[in-house]
Amino acid sequence: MRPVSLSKRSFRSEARVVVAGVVADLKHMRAYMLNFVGSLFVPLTFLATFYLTVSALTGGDLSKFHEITGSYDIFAYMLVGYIFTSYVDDALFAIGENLKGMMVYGVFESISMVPISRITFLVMNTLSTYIWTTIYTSMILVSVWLLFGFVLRGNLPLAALVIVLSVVALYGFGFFYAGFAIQLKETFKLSSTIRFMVPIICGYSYSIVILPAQIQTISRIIPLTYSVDMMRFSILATIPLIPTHLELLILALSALVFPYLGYRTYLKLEARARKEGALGRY
Amino acid sequence: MRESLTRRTLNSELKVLLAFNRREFINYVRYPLNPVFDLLMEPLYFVNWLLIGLFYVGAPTSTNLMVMAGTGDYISYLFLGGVLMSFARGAVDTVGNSLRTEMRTGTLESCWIAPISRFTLLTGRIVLNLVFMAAFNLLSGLLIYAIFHPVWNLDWTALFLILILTLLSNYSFGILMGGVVVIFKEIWSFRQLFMSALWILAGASFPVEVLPAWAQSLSRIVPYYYSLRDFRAVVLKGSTLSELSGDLLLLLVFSSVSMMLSYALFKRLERIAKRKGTLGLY
Repeated sequence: MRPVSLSKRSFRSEARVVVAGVVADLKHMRAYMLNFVGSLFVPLTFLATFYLTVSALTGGDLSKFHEITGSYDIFAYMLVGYIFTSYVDDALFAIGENLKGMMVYGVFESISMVPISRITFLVMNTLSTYIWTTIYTSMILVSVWLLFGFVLRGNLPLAALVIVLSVVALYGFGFFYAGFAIQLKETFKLSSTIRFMVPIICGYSYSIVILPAQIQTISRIIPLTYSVDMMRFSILATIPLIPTHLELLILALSALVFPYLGYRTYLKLEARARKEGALGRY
Repeated sequence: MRESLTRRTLNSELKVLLAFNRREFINYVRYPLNPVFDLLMEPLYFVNWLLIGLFYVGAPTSTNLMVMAGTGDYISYLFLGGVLMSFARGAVDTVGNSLRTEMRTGTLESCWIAPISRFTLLTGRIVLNLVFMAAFNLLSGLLIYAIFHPVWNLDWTALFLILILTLLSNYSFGILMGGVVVIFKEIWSFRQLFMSALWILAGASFPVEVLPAWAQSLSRIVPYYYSLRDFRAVVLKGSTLSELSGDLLLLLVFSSVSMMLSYALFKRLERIAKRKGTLGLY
């Protein structure tokens, strides 16, 4: 049998790299046990804070909430927003944060020379993030079922489709952000600011109809607004912002266009960093 | 007579304090976008809560909060809670982050054997964060005041005293986190969990009366419960220092107790790390 060259890319070599990336991440997580255990409970405390604050402010009077959303279930409304946020955050930031981590540990240059496709290189480290997000989400769902008897109902396949389309579309931004991380080096504050701004503009915790008209215009340009709206519609049958078939169409188009644009931008930014000899710096 | 370099004096501690904060400042401004994003972040945090309030309540005042806390102005209520807890978060995060950075860059052990007190080593970097936080909060406060014209009683002496007493708690929790970092290394999510628990028990965004009875009892031993209650009483109800003297005494007691306990726990954890030889590991 002819030996396969180590520098020749094949489906198997790409798969091996993905598995290696996930294994490395899992080892990393296991090495910091307290961090891992803590991360299992953080989502619950966020939800509890949110729920308690809203309860204190409304005192059970949900007429305004019902008027806008057509629902009385604030807990489900928050939960859907939170689950959505978790997956979206992974797509948006995991790639860039991982690249930054590689730079700090001084392994970025060596890993970027490994004979694998750029897509695999960028995406491999996000898979373990999704595994954990799914574990956290399951844990939240089990916890709220045990504590409050709450069960997520509605059109779950549609909700899953919305998450998948949104995540694929957001990989586009993830690629772009990764390129930006290579150029800018320190991106923690940038990602924190975006993490704060996107939920405000796209209405993760409320409907955008309460925003001032000018901000609403921006919200309606961003496909994420329709993602979270569709998610709520699929689980809670809330009143959608625009007809749902249009929202799905926007998401599908975004899933096609954004990853391509983001990837092209990443390649350009990486090439520039190579030319400047700035890959190894942080 | 020349002073020994290994002999600790107030002068040497101050020199270290200055050196730490100078270095932190250089690191901070090394990435020029950091201050820009920080300036955006703090107001955004309040905007998010404000929109949540408007969405669920439908008006800038809450009847239920009026009944529970004696003020319906939830914008000020949430803002003041956020201000006080931002100092706490800043202290806990700064100690945790800076020790982690020392570990990564391989300078922790050298810092550890420097002839300075553990207190300065752990909390020295908080000062700069304190200054930044004060500036950002002041800016957010000015914005809120300009937009909503709330009725605030700004008794600066009382507010300053409450902040100083709270600072003691901030330092104690910072020291505690220092001990945990020394043993467990990466504790990002544990810190989040810890701060969320403090947030909930202190009633940072809701009156603690919405908590179950057992949690309300726990609240009574959290120093922030008293600082928040007093801080809000001064600003929103015009309470005087003499009216709050009982609470301030309790705040002083609980802050001092938490300082002693945190320091004792830190020393214990430090001893474990030294015995295991894991101080320099990360």
